Amino acid sequence: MHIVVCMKQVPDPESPPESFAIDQETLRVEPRGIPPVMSLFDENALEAALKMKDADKDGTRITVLSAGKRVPDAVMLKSLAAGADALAKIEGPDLDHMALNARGTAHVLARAIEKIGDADLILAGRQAADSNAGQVGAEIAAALDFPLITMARKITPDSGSILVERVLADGYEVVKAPLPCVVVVSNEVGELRYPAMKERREAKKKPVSSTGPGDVGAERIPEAGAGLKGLEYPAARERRCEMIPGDDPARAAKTLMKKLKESGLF
Amino acid sequence: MVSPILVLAESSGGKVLALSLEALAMGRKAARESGTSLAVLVCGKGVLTAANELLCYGADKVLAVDNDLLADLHPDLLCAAVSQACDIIKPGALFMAETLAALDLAPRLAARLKTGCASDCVDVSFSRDTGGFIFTKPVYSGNVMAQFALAGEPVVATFRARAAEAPEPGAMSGRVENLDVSLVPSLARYEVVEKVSIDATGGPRLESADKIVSGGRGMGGPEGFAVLAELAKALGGAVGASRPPCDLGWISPVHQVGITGAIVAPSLYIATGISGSTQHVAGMAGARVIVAINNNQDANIFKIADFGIVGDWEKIVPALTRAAAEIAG
Repeated sequence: MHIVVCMKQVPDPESPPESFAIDQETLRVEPRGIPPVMSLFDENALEAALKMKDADKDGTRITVLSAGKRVPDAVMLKSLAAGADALAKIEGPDLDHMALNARGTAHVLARAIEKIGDADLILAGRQAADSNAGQVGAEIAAALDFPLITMARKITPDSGSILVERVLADGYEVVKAPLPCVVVVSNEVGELRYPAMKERREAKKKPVSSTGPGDVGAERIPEAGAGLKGLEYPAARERRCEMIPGDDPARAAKTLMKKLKESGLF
Repeated sequence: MVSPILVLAESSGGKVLALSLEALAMGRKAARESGTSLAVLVCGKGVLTAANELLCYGADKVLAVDNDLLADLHPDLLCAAVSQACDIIKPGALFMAETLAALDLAPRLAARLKTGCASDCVDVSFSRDTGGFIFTKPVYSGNVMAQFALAGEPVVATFRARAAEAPEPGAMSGRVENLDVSLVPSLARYEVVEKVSIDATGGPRLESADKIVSGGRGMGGPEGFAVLAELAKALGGAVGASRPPCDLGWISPVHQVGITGAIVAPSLYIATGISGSTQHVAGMAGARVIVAINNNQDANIFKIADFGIVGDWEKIVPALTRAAAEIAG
């Protein structure tokens, strides 16, 4: 089975708030002094693919696919070190990952997947850690006219199709989907495994390709469904922490409950 | 004249979700600002009870798609049903609450209709200049708020919990209008083999809980979460966790609060043994009252808390459980 995992690079989402500076002239967020990393949810998607590969080492091939103005190998190396077999990059000046919209991104990725040709399963994370939109998976499925399964927490091959556990509000369901299809992976799959030093070294020998959007037939990027109109810092809510001495737990608990009651909570 | 606003409401056990009523409040605001009408739609099998309940919330129209093929709310069939309903109603915007079902439906529908979609919004306003809506949503871990104008009709937006106050029910007015849509089983592009219900805690779910008691790395192991569950139970709330306990396997990732888990905005959030990383804070900073319990008085979490107790959670949490039980009793 050939699995394509779509991977976005994002400014490290766990950086302190002051790292995300707004440039009002260009209407962009300029990350300050923070490195790009792979989007956390896309890492979950890669982990789902790696779990499938664990179960069938010889029969599973994983390609990590990423589009951007520039996709640094240094950012994506972790995916190869963790166990992906190849990295396919689509790079071009129009593919600025800080500005590209979901429909445009999906269009480029869908054309690239067609070019790859033999992809059985396309995986995407549930949303990007920067734009927080959660649309690319659905847009890829629509662009390729593949079935779409979302909120997957486990994927198992099942003779020419796959079984997917989907998270529901009150549990989960197991669905059987034909291939090829697009699966959007939930964070419940678990964190991406941590590669060892040896795997990091060997990852540098794995195949990396870079092509332009024109090479995959994605010269014209479709109109965005969403146009950015403004950026602002969230109104900081002033919270002055009132400290309650904790040395006498019973008294601290009573005091806190009283204060919470005064705040209108019970 | 702007096309009507349509709110898609979800129900569970014959009752409309509180989150859907919040989305309805957003729809009402958008309809008022733009001078248009508000319709609300429920889809499923046996949804007439929920539809009747919606007659109390002042929408101009309450519509229902009641179809046996929607018994399991298969995403492909639901998307087809809502898409056909949109063909009939011709709304300018479709609003829904940011629920698990909406995480699937909103982008699926927008991709199908080729219209703009904004998920996880916290506000909407009508722009007289453009004659369209502006949607506000947090991006970059909640460190930046972005405003979007969406293209096409209907634009699709989902709203984060507590972005609006759920309206109080008024007198029932009007009647439910049934919409006929044509669905066939073959629209489902994958098959549901099995459904498994999990209700491990018996308490409310994280996303809908009014009170949340969360633990972090400081809990030291899975046992700590059993202690937190007692407090959550006494408060009638849910148990949450920061990322490390989920990664370490102390508690299931369904409990995770933060950028990589659920984004919550309860009235009370008690953070226990949580240092307060950006990743976690982005998921809970919208709580009305935040209590931090930590043995490190310099922990980041105290900076965003309303009340702080420096000390051992092992002593403080059980004391809180007793105090909470007294209040409840």
